[in-house]
Amino acid sequence: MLEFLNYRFMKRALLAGNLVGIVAPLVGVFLNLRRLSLIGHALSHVALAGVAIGLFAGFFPIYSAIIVSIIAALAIEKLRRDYADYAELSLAIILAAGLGIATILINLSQRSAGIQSYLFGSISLVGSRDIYIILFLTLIIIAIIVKYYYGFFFLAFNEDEARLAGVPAKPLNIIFMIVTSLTVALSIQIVGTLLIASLITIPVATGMLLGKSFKMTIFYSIFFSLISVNSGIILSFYYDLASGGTIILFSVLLLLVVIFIKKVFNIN
Amino acid sequence: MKVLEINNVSFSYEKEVVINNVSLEFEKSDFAAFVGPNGSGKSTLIKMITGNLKPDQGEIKIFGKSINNYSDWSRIGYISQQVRDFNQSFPATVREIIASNLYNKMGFLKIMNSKLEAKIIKALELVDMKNYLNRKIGNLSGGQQQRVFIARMMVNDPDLILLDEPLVGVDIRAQDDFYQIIGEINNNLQKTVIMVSHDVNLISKQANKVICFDNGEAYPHDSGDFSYQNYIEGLRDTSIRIIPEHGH
Repeated sequence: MLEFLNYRFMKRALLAGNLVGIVAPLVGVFLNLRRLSLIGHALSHVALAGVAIGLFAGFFPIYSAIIVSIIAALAIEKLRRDYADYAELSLAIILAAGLGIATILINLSQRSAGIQSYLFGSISLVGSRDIYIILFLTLIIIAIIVKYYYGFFFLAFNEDEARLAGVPAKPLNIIFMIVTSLTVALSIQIVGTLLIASLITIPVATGMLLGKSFKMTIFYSIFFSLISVNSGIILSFYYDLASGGTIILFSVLLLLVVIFIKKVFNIN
Repeated sequence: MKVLEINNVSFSYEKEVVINNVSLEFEKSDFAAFVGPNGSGKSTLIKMITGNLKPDQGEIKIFGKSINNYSDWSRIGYISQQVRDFNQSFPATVREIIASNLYNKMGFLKIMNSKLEAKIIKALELVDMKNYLNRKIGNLSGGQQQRVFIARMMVNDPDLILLDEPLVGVDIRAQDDFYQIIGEINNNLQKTVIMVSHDVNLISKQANKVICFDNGEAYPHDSGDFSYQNYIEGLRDTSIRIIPEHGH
């Protein structure tokens, strides 16, 4: 029954998937509570441009995705301040720019055949070099979130008040945007650029239904994300499905189950 | 030592003068009210005291130190008009909300310890909310939330407390409650309080100093018989005694 564990690529996919399954909702809790969940969506389109640049120029696509999405994250943060009352405008601008670059380069690139696995996620895509990069980035992201936990929390709760209470809002916002772009870049291979935003959003939406405290919300979000990731990867192995889509549909299913149980048993 | 000194401070937004050569002083355990019409410069001055705006001219000194070199911001507590602008379904407990204000006291790794936990309990005892430590903020009433925000401010044990219209849109009972707690903090803990308010009648019962703002000028009144009518007349004339003397 556990025959999938005999395959090296499955072990790698599960390891990478579980790391992504921890950081995506961890970062997602802060993003969603700041009503910035669409940042994941915008950054993933930019990451696609990064992948396209890598494929076109012959770099390792994840490296170019990381660099391009960090630049885009900083641009979003700058635009978000320039258009303070229309923060979502900055996301629309960056998303469009990213997709524009991606489509042009994919068209020009000879190697565009591989692009589909970056769009939808592919468990066979995770190489042994990728595992080290994903592990390294995961540890960095967790360390940063732990260190700035209460600062990020205060900014998410009420940015104006946090600023006035002496929380260094500007540097923390920039650090948080970099963390978000790293999360997006390292999730590309498992869920694909088109579906990363869902892994940042849906398990968190489920966790928010149950969490009475911020810590418990994070705990539940990661819990639901890990169930989805593992089920999705294993199902995609047996039925030859796209891993990203399977993971996301599983997380939607969990969300519906929790909504249903809460309603039937009238839990608040 | 003066808690706060404002010496000949002026400030303009573009070409419009908002604060015009204002000088004021506040001492330990003062309760000062900033009153005056909208746009008269009250909130602008508060923003300069919190370091969020820089005066074009003049000098602000906090605990004897020029604001330009001032760094111990945890000695200043602040509640703004935006205090209730948060998402009511935000999944956070009272403990987490208050802990976030200890951010600057957490050391390099920003980790909570038993000393900081004890500060949280102490702050909640001050507002009589100790039993609500692990309750979700959004499940509390407006008045209880207000107490939590006072506790969040008090967790750093500030010596100067700035309140910028914290009572906009708050019902009468919660207002009384708020004044009572702030009054106790002012009287029993000898904290200096500066509060911006539109409710001249209510705040003048608490304050021992009323600073009337009009067109960027500040007119301090120490004592006198207060009524809304002579507040309007007395706005420009510091010789009119508009604030009642009371046991402070």
